[in-house]
Amino acid sequence: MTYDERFPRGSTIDEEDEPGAVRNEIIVGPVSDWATDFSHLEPEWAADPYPIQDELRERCPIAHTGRFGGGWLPVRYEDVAAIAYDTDRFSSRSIIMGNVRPPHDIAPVGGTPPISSDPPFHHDARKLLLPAFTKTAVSRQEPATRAFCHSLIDAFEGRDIVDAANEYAQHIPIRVIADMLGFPPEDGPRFAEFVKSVLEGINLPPEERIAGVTALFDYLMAQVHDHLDNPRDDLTTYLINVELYGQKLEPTHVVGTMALLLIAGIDTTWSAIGASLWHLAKTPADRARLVAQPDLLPTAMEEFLRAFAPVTMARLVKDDMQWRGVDMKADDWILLSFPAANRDPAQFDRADEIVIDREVNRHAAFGLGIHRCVGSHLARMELRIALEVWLDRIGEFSLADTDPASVAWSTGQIRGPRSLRLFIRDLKVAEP
Amino acid sequence: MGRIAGVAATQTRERLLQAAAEVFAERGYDGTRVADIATAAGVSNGALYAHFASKAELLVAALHTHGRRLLSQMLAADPDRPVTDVLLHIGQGLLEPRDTSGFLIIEALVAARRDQDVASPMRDYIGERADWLTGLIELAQSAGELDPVLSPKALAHFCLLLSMGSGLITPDLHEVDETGWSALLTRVIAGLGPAASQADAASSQADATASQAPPTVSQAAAAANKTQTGTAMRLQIDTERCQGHGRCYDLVPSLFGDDDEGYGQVLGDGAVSAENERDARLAVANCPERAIELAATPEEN
Repeated sequence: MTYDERFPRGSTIDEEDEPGAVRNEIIVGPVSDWATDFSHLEPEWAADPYPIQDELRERCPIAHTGRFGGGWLPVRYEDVAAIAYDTDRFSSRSIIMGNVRPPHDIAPVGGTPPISSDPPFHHDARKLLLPAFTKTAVSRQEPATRAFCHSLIDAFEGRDIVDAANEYAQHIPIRVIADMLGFPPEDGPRFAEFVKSVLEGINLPPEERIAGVTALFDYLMAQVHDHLDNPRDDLTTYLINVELYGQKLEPTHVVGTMALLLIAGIDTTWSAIGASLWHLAKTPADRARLVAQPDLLPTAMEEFLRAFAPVTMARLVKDDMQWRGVDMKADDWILLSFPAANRDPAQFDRADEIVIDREVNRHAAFGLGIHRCVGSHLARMELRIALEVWLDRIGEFSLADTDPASVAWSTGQIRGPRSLRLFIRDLKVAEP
Repeated sequence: MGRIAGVAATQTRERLLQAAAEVFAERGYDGTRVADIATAAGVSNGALYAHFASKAELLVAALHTHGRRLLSQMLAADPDRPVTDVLLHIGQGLLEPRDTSGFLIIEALVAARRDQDVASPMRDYIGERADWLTGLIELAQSAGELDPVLSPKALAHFCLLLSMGSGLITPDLHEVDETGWSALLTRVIAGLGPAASQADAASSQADATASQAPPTVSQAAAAANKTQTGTAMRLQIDTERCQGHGRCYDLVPSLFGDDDEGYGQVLGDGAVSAENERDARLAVANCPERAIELAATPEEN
């Protein structure tokens, strides 16, 4: 057993219960007016946020809410971009808008560096991760990802109805990130639980929320200990050993980054794959065109990323200020909706349509500025392989339920189908 | 909504250039807002910026597309016309009132006086035209139509001054009799011909190569083409802006690559040939951070 005094056995790291964290009253229930009382955790938003965003863009480009202790929702591309670029006035100290604000002194590192970090620390923490996530580096995962996608479809043999979200999309990023972090693949179902409690359990009572987050960090700590005992060539061992400013990383940094990679790597790509399949299942013309023109897939994929961008981020206002006509207070949330920016007609022609051969597509699905999704190349690889294999193997597919409400969408900042029942026909045998 | 399809990028571009030519010519560079052009073209500001990074870029592109192209038009109409005749004909036309697009160059030159973003591409634009003219003049000299002692560059400069001046001293300010003007030009061009003593030599040279056709616009155009390919487009990535999205090297791996951290890099010296220009523009238009610049570089002499 290798001992590392940074990671004493039996210890835990609790991100949410740090001294100095500020909790506010939890307000739930139907939204009275989206311009003054928005909540991204209500079912109406989860089911279809786009009409809400479109309406806000017309009448009040920056909406407010008193929920979550106060926050703002910009829906125009130019506002979203301006905030993403303005790290002087908007902090990433917390990037999940909820009912607890982490203590101020957690900046500039934050709980899950580098996504929670501000400059100048952010740059150095991010630099540690970049080489593992380049296009070339992630392409090494491609053959295994392809084989895994085929194995998931092999399991559909003999069935007419499958759940593409639960039985396909979900498993792909879980397997890939488990491989990269060096976690046991059979722990996959637990990851899905962690993701749900961290990202969707925002409005749960504090003790439940803390329990969910604690379970995640206990698991990660156990993985650290396992990697100390059995070092191997994976990201966890890398994070344990890597140095920053001449020293190994703080234990909270190691575990925080592991949490980030696990959580951010799963829900997001799962959502992107699911939303793309959902669109193709209900749009036979696009499906037929992609089957006939597989070369179009990379272009179409960017359009799916634009139109169904899964990820919304959050920021905290640093100091009281007037910003583009609204009075922002220190520690107000900003719900930084890249999905809303991606549907702004001032930025995109036919913004509300899915145009699978859209050639000019400067979308912000992976964010803008210094926090560009570090896993974007990995996500694109997974999405491309997942769709390629699906379209290659499944000749025909369509929504199994005609009622749109039968597709369950996740609530919170990551949006994608969590249940997507599809009729499938003409399942092809994988070519060797 | 009156918007045009996002997929019809070429069409959007054309509409934007047409609108830009009209609006700039009418209101001047400083008096034009980018939003006015977007409105006139019936597209969104966002769509405009997908094609053109700045007002200056739009002005110069509009000039390239909709500026007057007397030389190339005459080339198309009559490729075998003698060079002196072409010059005379263009000179005579300088008295005629210009249409809107004829004023675009004037607005661009005025803007270039104050705006560095315009000044640099305008130097290229005027330089390119001066080079065409110089090539034409050299051909006429080698064939004995014009005095070989004259500096071709000086003569090209003289022609440009007349042409640009005619956009400022317009017929409504000061009218001049057409016959008188035409007679003057004929005299000037005759004066540019070979000196009497050289005329014989030139004509005997011409006799010696009797089978050779007189210098024509099509030959000049070939010379001009050589000059044009010398004016290369060059790609650059603003490393402050690039965040490693990788759209450039995803879309155009022939022009872009990535470094060890995934940031985009221009391959080689960034020179873009005419056949690569569309790909280069595709990358520019898809960079989420607007970090890629494509600019004309002056010919290296």
